[in-house]
Amino acid sequence: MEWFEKIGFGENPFKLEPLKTDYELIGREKEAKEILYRIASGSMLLIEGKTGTGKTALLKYAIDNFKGEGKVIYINAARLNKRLNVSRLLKKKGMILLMDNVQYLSKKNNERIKYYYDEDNIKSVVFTTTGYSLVNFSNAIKDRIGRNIIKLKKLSKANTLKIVKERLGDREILSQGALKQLYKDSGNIKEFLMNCGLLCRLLVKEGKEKAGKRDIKKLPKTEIEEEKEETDICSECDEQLVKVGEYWRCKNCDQYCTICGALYDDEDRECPECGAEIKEEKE
Amino acid sequence: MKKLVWYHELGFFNNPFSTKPAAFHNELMGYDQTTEEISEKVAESDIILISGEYGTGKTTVLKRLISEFKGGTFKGKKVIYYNCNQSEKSIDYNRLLINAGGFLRRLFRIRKRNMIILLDEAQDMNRKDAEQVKNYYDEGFFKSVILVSSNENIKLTKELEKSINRFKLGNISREEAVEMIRKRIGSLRFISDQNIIKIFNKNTNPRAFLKNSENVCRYAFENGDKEVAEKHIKKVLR
Repeated sequence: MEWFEKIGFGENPFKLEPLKTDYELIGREKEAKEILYRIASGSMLLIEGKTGTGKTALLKYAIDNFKGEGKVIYINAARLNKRLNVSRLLKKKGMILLMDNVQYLSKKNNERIKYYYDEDNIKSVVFTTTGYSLVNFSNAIKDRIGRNIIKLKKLSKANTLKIVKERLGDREILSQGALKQLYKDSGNIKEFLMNCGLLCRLLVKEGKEKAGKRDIKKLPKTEIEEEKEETDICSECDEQLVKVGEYWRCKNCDQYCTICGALYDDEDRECPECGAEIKEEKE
Repeated sequence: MKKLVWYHELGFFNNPFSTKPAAFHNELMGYDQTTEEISEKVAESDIILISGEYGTGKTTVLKRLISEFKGGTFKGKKVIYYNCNQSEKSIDYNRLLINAGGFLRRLFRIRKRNMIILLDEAQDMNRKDAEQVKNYYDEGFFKSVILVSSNENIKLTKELEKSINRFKLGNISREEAVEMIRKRIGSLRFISDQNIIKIFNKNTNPRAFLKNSENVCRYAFENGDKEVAEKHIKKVLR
């Protein structure tokens, strides 16, 4: 039996995956309004904020508001294979694209998004990133985003406490003192919620009714790392991908120039991009 | 939720300041004379390079040329549009020419002749693409070639360089700016011509200008005001 079941919860009240939970968005009213407007009016928008500040939760809010129209597509670039061409995912007309962690997306893939946006295959795009400077945007995309940028700051204490209230309801198993201390200790809302969960688990384990400020000292140190899957493995043959020039290539599945990484056709004698001679492979 | 979109309240279904090239059926921008000159060159079977900074309307001019020269669906296309960054491979001109034909040509894999080809994002063309486009042009498969690039100094082969006509898109005039907005929102009193010009003076790049106009109108509307005033412009475009 899980700890939360012992105190009467069907699931972990401090579950961290915004896409899999159905909580109300708290403390981001201004940002929520902006995201709905930019999507409705067919724009490109960028949400910038450190890990755990609630970027994905904002995207979840957008999904909930537009999913009735059946054309919302959510992609987490941190889990997207580096070799993938995003065009494959973007064929439907009038789609709303939510691209999480765009800093992991290649420049080529970003250009493709721009192309489909201009063609109106994609109606609007919301990108999220931990830092604008980390993203591989061309000037053409930067110009389309322009000043449509939301910067997410740490949630206020009052709103953070409101979130706990929503998650725990009337069960005041964490004292106000403990919550305030946790808010101080945690760098962002994700870390805060994780610590709340750990504290509740401890309380159940020790058979106590309520956790106080002193109990926090018993918690293990936690740090949140950015989630990332192994995206540099070929999706077709499991070979490790290699970076050649600007591109990620698979030794087995791609026919590419070993100097610049461009793909070439069977009949090509020289690389179509850099002009280097193509050496015949020995069978 | 519907309430929060200001342009619905003013009677527009879609964002009237959309900066998408595909919006508004390609009918509105200030480059009437330039597009006319370009169309003449296309009709005279020339090779053309259209260059311009981001947001000056290159793709919009292209879309307009497409709608001007495209043929009926029955006989197949007359214009081929290709965006040079849509694929990583070299441009397969043969396939483009076959697919441009009607059913029979596609069935027997016969290449169509006398086509107009539009190459968008031409700065991303590779060497082979540039060499071959001239060959296909000389052989009569392409009647006219239109290259579009954000950079006017793109690498071209010497032969192409010799026969190219260059057009550069720059910023638009005040009158064209007002016309651009009026074509989109009609004589709507919500914003006056003087205030349109004031917004235009802040940034004369067409895309930036449209975005600024959208943001000012939205702010004024959400502020509960009946008309755009100087204070809204000052607040939004600090």
